[in-house]
Amino acid sequence: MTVSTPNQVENAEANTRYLVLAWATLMTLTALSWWLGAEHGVSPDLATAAILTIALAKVFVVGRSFMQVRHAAPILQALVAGWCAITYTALITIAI
Amino acid sequence: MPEPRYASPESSVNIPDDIATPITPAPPGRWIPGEVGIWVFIFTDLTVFGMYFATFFHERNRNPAAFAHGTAQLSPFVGALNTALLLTASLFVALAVQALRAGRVTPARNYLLSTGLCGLAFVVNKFFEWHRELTAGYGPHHDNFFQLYYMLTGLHLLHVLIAVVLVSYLWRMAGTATAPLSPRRTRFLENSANYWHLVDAIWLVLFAIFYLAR
Repeated sequence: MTVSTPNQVENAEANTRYLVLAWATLMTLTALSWWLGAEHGVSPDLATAAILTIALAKVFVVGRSFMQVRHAAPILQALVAGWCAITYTALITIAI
Repeated sequence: MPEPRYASPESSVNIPDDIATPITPAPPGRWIPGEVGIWVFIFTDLTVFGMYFATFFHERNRNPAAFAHGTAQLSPFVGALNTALLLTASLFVALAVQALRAGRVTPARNYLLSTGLCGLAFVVNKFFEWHRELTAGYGPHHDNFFQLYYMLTGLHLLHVLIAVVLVSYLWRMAGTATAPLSPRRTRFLENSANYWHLVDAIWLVLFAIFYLAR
């Protein structure tokens, strides 16, 4: 049987809130990028740049929150941030 | 002397050992979620997909009209629905990991079941989406856009199917788990969860480039 102290329960609740907030942020960013993908008078290049920025930012949030990279060794945090930055730079450079 | 193994900083219990090596709280800056091997796989997979994403835009520059026409044939609603399904599944997996670490087996199994159902809904949705596009005459041989579309979404769908199998195995494992989880099961749980999140992350970029980029 697992006995949780009030502090442990509090930590679990805080972590649950963090995960739900990350999910809500990701869903909001999805809606925003969907809006940008439609014709709204925004130039195609600007819209594509914004859509790619949002997509790679979402990958970063998934890594930090769901994959728990925020608690991980600094080298893993740097690798995840590095992959997002390199992929983002490469895609923007080729696409725009 | 056996190599020490570390518990997550979020662990709310001291996990007892199944093979006589104690798990201790990770010293600052040492803990990684899952094993090194799963992260080698994750970065390899991300790099391969990253090159395909770059190929997509390279081909798009060579034939922008065909790619604009291709994007116009896809339904952003269906793409957004699939994105919502995978994001929600990822949330459930993350909550299941937290629940299992705390020894709360019943909610963890419910989260894992919900994850599997979201994954299956994605597969069914993708099947109907492909069917609609194929019957409209947009098969993989139509042009470069659809060749890349079927190849990359097909490769991703294979990842989803593997993730669903892993989650169904976790669901079974959780059913026989005694709280708290053994270190071996904790590692398998974290590795499988991270694989699921990888599948989610890849889709987020696929959705952006195929359905939304203009």
